[in-house]
Amino acid sequence: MRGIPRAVRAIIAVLMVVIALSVVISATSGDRAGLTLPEKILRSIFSPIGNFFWNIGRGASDFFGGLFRLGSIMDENRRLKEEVEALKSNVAQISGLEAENARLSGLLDLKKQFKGKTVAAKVVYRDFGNWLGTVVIDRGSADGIKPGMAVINSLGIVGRVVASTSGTASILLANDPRNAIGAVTVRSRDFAIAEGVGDGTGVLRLKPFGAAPDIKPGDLVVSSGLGGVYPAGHIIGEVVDVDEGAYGMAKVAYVHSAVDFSRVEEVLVLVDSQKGNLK
Amino acid sequence: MRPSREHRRPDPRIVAVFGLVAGVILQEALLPGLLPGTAPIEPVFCFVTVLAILGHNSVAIALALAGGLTFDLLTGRLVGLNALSYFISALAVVSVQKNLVKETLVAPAAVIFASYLIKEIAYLFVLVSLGMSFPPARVLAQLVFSSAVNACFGACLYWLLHFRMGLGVRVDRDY
Repeated sequence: MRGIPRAVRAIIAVLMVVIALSVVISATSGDRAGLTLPEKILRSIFSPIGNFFWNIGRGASDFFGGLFRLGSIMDENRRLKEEVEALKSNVAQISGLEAENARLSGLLDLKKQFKGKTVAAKVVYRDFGNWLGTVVIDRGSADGIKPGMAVINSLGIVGRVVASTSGTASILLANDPRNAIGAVTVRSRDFAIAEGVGDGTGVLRLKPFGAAPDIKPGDLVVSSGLGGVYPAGHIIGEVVDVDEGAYGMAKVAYVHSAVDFSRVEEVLVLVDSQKGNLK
Repeated sequence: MRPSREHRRPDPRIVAVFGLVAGVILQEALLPGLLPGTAPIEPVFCFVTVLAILGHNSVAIALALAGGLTFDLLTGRLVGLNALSYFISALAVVSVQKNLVKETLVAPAAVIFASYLIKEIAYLFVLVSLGMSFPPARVLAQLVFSSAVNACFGACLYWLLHFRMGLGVRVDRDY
């Protein structure tokens, strides 16, 4: 290596790094049965820290959100100003607790509706990128969670488990372009595939199987149960737009999910996917 | 005797380690909890780019790889994608940093904007080559918005590290 100029050595080093990373990306692009040791170690260290700071972030967000809403109420109710001032600090705290209570109650109601085992979990941190959607929850293989299990909340399908450690699991969100869900429209019973668009807005692309599907804006779309991951009958979303394509040959619809993927906090993992149908 | 500013300058490697830990916590947990789905700020990326602009080439490239790999290992999918995109953008900044005017915030902000674009294009190139597709209008809007947000954050970080902490590498120019 001594005889090789420095610039050439730098280029060789760069190429080696790029090739090595490309190989690792390619090897980890599909579903994996388990995580590697460095991933498990890093997760076990970061999970409690992430959970702690996530709660701080959510608490601060709820606090300032509560104060913001309080401001507009004060403008409308000036005669109650004194009372509002006295309760201001309490309201900011309560608004956060109320929102959490409503979410947990919805999750509890949902849990009672299933035949099979379910595990309630909380999001501890998430993938920050613009294009993909992954969150990590605080339950893992110790609770029976394995890759391939469906994840829902009270508003509909959230995604599926793609990897798990004993105390955490990665959820690939339904709006991620790597995710596809077997779907059916409730009104016309047209079968389709709902896949993530990757636009970050919670819109999924619906590709129907039939030659002349009857899909209209406003149609409710639920999981068909045919894909093997998501049990039948869970809400995917509502059709918001239909693209007829050239000569009406390639109809594609766009479905808006009721789930706000950027704000998912509590979820339910369907451990018995075969029994995950609604009662 | 009171130590001079030169002697009080912090070691960039220590600053990088601190920046990595703080950046990972901010990026993965605190900011998504505080501002869900609104501000795509990437503190670790901004930190890498600012260190590269300031002339700490090897520290910036090491931080790009370490930071990117940390994120990849934490989320467990497409391991190496963040590391690769951070690495490529850090290399691009390292290759031009000697020609930059570093005593204002305009040039560093423009470089952070451009390097974020490079990072996202490298990231998207890999995703598209793996068979994923994205709406072009959304890609364009997201690229411009995210780059602008990170350029603003990065400029603040540059001000802190360069003008307040004096972390820049001194270069004696003969012109």
